Amino acid sequence: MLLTPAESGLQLKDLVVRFGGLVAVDTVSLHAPAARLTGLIGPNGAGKTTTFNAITGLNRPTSGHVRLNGQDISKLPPQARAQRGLGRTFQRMELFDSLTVRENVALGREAGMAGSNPLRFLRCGAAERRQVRTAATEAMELSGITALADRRPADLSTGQRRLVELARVIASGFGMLLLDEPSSGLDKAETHRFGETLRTLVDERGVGILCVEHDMALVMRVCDYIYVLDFGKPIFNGTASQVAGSPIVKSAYLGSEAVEEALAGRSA
Amino acid sequence: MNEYIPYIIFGVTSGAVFGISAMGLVLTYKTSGVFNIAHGAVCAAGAYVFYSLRQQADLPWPVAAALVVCVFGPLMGIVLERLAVAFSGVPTAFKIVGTVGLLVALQSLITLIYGSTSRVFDPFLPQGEAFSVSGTKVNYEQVIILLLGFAAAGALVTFFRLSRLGTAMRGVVDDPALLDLTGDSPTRVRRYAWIIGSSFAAMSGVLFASTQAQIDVNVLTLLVVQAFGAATIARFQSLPLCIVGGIVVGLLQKLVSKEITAYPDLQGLDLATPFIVLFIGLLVIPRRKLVETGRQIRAKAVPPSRVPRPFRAAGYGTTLLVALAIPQLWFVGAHLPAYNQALTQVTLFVSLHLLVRTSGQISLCHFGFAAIGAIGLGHMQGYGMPFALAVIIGGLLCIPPALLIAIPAIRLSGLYLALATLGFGIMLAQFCYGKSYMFGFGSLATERPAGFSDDETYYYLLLGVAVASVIAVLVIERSRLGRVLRGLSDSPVALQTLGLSVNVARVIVFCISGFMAGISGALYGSLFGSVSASTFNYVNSLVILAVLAISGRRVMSAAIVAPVLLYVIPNYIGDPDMNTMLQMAFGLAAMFAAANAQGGWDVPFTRLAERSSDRLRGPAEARLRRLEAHDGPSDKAQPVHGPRVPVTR
Repeated sequence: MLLTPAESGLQLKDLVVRFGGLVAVDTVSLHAPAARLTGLIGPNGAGKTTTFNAITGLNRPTSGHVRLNGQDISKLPPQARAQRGLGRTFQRMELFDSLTVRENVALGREAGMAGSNPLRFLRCGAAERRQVRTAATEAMELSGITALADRRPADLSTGQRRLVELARVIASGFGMLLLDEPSSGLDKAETHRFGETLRTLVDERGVGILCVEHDMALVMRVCDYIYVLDFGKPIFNGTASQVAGSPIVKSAYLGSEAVEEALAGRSA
Repeated sequence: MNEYIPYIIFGVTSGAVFGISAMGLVLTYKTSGVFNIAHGAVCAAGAYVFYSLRQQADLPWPVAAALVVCVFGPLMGIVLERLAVAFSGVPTAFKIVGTVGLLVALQSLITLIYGSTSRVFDPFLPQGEAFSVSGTKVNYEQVIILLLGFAAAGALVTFFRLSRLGTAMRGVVDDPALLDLTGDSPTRVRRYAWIIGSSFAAMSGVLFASTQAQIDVNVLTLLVVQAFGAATIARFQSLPLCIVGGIVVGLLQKLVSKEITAYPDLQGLDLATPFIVLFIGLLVIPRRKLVETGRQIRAKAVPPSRVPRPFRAAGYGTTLLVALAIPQLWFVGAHLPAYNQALTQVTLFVSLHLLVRTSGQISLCHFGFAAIGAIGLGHMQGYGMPFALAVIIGGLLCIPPALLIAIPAIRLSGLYLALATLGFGIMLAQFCYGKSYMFGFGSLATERPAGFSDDETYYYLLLGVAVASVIAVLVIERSRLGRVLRGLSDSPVALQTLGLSVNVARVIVFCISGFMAGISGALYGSLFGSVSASTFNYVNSLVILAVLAISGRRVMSAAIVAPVLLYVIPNYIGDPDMNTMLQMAFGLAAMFAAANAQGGWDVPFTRLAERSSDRLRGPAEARLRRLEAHDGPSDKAQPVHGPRVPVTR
């Protein structure tokens, strides 16, 4: 299928999510193209995770459309969206604690293979098994967790668990990834390495990434384009330096020194 | 029209009793997040205490009633509140196991004291005619019960709306810590809720026994299912709707019983009515209205075995050798049939293990699948089919009901799935067992395969099947399906967002588990030469879950420990009273295991040791230790906060 650049990747059109009287996401439109790293930032409670849940089908938007590579996926259940190449990680990590790290990452691939075909739950051929093993090994290498392969996620630090979750979606081979605060809990060195991993995914594998992130320095460093939400409403979008220079963004984050510092560092 | 009036009067009266019972249930569930499956057993206990006080100790009924409702109920409530606190920190499945354990323990205790046969319960409320409706007399008892029902509902609603304690009760569910900050002790609030709940339970037990004019522990424990029906109509939340729901269920039940007199095929449908209400309710109530109350806690993963592989293999080998030698051992002799029974149950326990432990689902009707398997065997042998084929057909026959149970499993999880399966098991027992396509009124002949009439030769065949089913489950656990099922237990949401249909996974596991349970039931049935409804009492579904909970966390322990506990040991004990006591011990042990589900067996002992060392060291040191324990890295499972993300759509 040939896609025009405007169609590639993930597009939201006028997405609205209401919980009773509360409008958690208010007419958000954005475009996260393939082979680009798009940031989604905003203060706590801005509606970022709710937007993710609506995109992946875990909650039902009140109105609006979600398009993936030009195809409307608004009505599909979560697993069907994943089957079309949309993967995500969770702010509160959703790992399989009774499996080893390697099995976790491998299941990332296997779950997609099994899909909704009962026969493929029960048996898999040698070729498929090899494919799973290669995908898992590569993904663990790329995220730098090869040494942890035989440990259980429950024994790992928060940062390491984040990397396991990242490796799992990498192994799945999704074309579009939604990452929900992937760097929180990582130390400085890990964060740096993590930034490189993201760039490798985007630049070498052509994966599109939409990333919710609180580490402003990281966002400013790696993101190609940034959307800013506040109280569910989009308040600004632009490149890193445009965002850093925007008085609207500054006022939304007013009082948060770390963010202000990062913004100032970027615009200076 | 007139011929309906007596049924309507009876229906409304018994419905009021269900309503009172349901209010107690919903109140305690709302305030503690622990759904008391043993609520019916509490009702029964209340009725028996009343029976003892009035008919054995010859107290006047108002005194006996006051003692039951105002002393026994509150005391019970205080105990239950402590239990609910113990269960509050464990995943829903273990809350269910814990209250199932309580049910088993209480029921055994009552059986131990009063025996299992029913006794005459003299009505105590005035029986004179109050008024008549179109020629049907309505007696004072019925009027009093109805008024009592409405008065109780009215009082509770007023209490909730107007009193400070009532408001606090509404708050305690949402956030006990926050309530604590506002100056109300959550423990005190919960204790009152359990006191009111248990008093209501005791009252409904007494009234129910009175309307039945007899007292029977099994019937009274079942009362809870009628209350479940009423509670479903109240969506497990609304107290006033409980009484409405109770009356709707009571009326439906009596009207159905009138209508089915002309159709012998439908006999028993009236008894199954509350269940049908429960099952349909769980299927049609929008899922967002069925959010479980209280914090949702994720089960802690079972750590990998610390025993090195060669030792494990040696252990399995030795076990197999012992199993092969059993018929020759000196202590077996006449007890061999019990070993045979235990072997047939290995398949049942590993199938339940696969469902409950591996994939995090729950079934309170597993013995019902076993019954269907035995029925399949009996009928197929009746058509002249060979044994092996008949057993397999018995297993296959369990797949349609397993699919039926998988429907609520797709929509619901945890508590509501457990309720749906419990209801299904009871409906099977009450409505289906008696039909000619099942056991019929008498018994159904089942035969052993040709050449295996001798217990010893049959032992080896059964051992072969048991080993095969253990291997099957071990292979499943190590396969892709096993990883998917463990993933299903840990995080269904993650599986979905990786592109897997969790519904398909649920359907598969219910079908496999149901099939194996059916095979086990067929083999179990073949031991006796004939089977009847009483061979497959629905309570056993609860007992096996309790026993599974205390038999360790791995396949091998479920396969070996559980059947020995349930069949071999009682056979050596022999004495029925001692065995009832053993059953009670299973119930108590299951409660203990449930309360400590997030830690190991050592947790309560560690806690005890800490407490006594705190006492020695003084309060300041103790506070310091607690602070350290609180700030340090916690290895406990983390509660999942906020609204639950729906798992499927």
